[in-house]
Amino acid sequence: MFLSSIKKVLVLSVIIIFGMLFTVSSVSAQTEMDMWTFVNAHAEFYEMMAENWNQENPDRAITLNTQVLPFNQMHDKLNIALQTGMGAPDIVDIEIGKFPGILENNAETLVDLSSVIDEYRDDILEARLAPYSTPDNKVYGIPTHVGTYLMYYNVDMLEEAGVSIDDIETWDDYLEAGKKVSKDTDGDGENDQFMLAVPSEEASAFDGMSRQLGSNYFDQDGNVILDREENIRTLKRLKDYVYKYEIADVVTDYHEQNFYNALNNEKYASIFMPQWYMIRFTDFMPDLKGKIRVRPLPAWPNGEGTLSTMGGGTGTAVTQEASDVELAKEFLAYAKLTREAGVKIWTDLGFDPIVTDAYNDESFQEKFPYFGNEKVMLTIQDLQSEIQPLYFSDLLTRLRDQLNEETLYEIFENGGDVEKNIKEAAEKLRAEQ
Amino acid sequence: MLKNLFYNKKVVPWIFITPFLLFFTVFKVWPIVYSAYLSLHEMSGLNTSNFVGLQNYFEVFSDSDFLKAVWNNTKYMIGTMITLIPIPLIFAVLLDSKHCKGKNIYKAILFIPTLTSLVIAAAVFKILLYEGEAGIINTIIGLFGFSPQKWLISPYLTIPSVILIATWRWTGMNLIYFTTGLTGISQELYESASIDGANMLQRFFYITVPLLKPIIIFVATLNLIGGYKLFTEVFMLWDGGASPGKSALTMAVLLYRTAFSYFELGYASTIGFVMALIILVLSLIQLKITGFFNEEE
Repeated sequence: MFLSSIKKVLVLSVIIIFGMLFTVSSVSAQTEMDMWTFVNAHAEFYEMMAENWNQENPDRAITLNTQVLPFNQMHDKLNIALQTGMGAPDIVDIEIGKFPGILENNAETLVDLSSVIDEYRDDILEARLAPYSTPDNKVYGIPTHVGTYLMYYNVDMLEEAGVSIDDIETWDDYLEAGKKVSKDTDGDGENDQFMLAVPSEEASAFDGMSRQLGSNYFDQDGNVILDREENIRTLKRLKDYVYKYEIADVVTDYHEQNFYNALNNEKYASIFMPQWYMIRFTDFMPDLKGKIRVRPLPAWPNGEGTLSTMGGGTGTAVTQEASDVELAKEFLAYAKLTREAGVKIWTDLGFDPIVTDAYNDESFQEKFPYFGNEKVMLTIQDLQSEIQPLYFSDLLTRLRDQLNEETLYEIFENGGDVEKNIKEAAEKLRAEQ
Repeated sequence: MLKNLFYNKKVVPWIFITPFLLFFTVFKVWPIVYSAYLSLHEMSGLNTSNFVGLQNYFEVFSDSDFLKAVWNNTKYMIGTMITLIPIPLIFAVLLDSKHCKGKNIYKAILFIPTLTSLVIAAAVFKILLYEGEAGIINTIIGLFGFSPQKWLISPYLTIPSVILIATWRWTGMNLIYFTTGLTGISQELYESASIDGANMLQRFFYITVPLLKPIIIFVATLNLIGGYKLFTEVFMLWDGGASPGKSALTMAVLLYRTAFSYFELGYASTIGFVMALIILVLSLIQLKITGFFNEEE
């Protein structure tokens, strides 16, 4: 009696399972793909690109299910999903700072995208692939933007101090201009209007200047080069701006409302950040409309280094769990590397694309009232040839934490010794290697 | 046969608690056992492990970040002992007084912070504690002639800022514990003490405090455990717990980032075990000192 009922259950479940298999195979004309991201606008962008793809490739149509998760949660969840081999999406946006760590632990669960990238290699800024590549030239992420480093000048403040921004060619010129514009406005004996703000809890300023010199955190093989002479020189210069010349103020970071307010209230005459900071200006600093000009970074004296570099970024990856790996790869390349995609990355997301040809589209001729009616994207186009590759290692997160919480804080907030602090940090990181 | 099984007094209880035991084993016992295993290994991700014996444990005690974290936790714990026992106790006594009108309204006001989401509370405090002159708390202390403070930036003020939030948040909860304790003290004791000439302060120190001792010990133990487990406040106040000069780095934050940012699950498990050990030992010492284990007289 008992046994026969077990048999019945078994037979029934077999029927149900086969039935399900049948329905799935008969319905799936479109391939379902899950995608995770931590930015709403990115999700909308990929959905739009999926629609375009479906129109052009009706026989290989996809249904893209995007899911937007909070930054840390998404990366933690992804890491666990990849490690356990369960529940990872087909396609995923990974922030550049998280990328090396996730890649190190999951290289076999992410897909090498070189085969689809090769087709576009000549049409894109190849240097931008470096942060998402391994030393054996496998590429695991497709970049979203270049993040061209730019100087944003408040031209009103500088003109009032008698400085013409186009006369600023080197960091020495920048310092001289800074001396003119920085002043004590309320008569308490301390400057309260500055040329610049240096952040003590993020590395943006250090990154921009040291990368101009082809230096930064790691060399091509992933060795820590934090205490290289170029980096020490960069930090000393920034520290002198704060303590010796008093043309720079120390802030925590560039990404909070209080800082936006300070910029908006004309406390700082300039800031250098990647191209995507344009969006922060237009979104959070309405009073600066018409006053901001976008220029290349000042050059290092003696003609050393480049006029720009890259900053920030998101690499989009395909996982081995994808229902159709080849299709996912092709769609991703289509959504990010075609000329059309490059144009949309600018028009819809507001980023400087890595697709070189996209810059010839007429939408890049746009004049911005906010930025003095200048054709900003053409300035950026001219800087593309200045951008050199940048290398990371899986120690990146640790290194960033070390810089943001201790080293930069010690140097800028407490006026600590540059060489001592940076050497200590480098040694500490090498011990983890 | 099945029927016999259900009528067997030895077997049936086990059948009933099986679901609980199953969940308990899978979600509580197994993770502990597994993390004990992990703590003896050097892990690279989840899949590759390398047995290193007790090396992680030796390492933890010479890890400057960990020692800093223990010290930060200790400072925070001491701070909450100073604020979170006397303040709720005084409120409880005041609210217990028969001269107090509208008790429930006050209790509700004091209890509301306990119910708010810590994530939102931290976001609000971030604005309140803004370091500029325009910061709300800086404006308030400015009224008393103090200069603006860099609350969340100066290493000397980070832990006090967290204590401030904890005090705001947990006063209501501890108030409930103390109020409940107070209702257990017979009014006759106070009356007879009054007749014998004891003033208000004497009644407080010689009747209220001694009779509330079990509750005070309970609250102090909760403070101690909470103090060493501190995570969310720090994680939210400084994005991902990145406090200036690591001045508010706590053991739990260090554990979290070791596991999920640096992917060193072995070492993170070790931190977890040492953390549990510290809490256990200190709680036992505290309970011993306060006489919790003494036989009832």
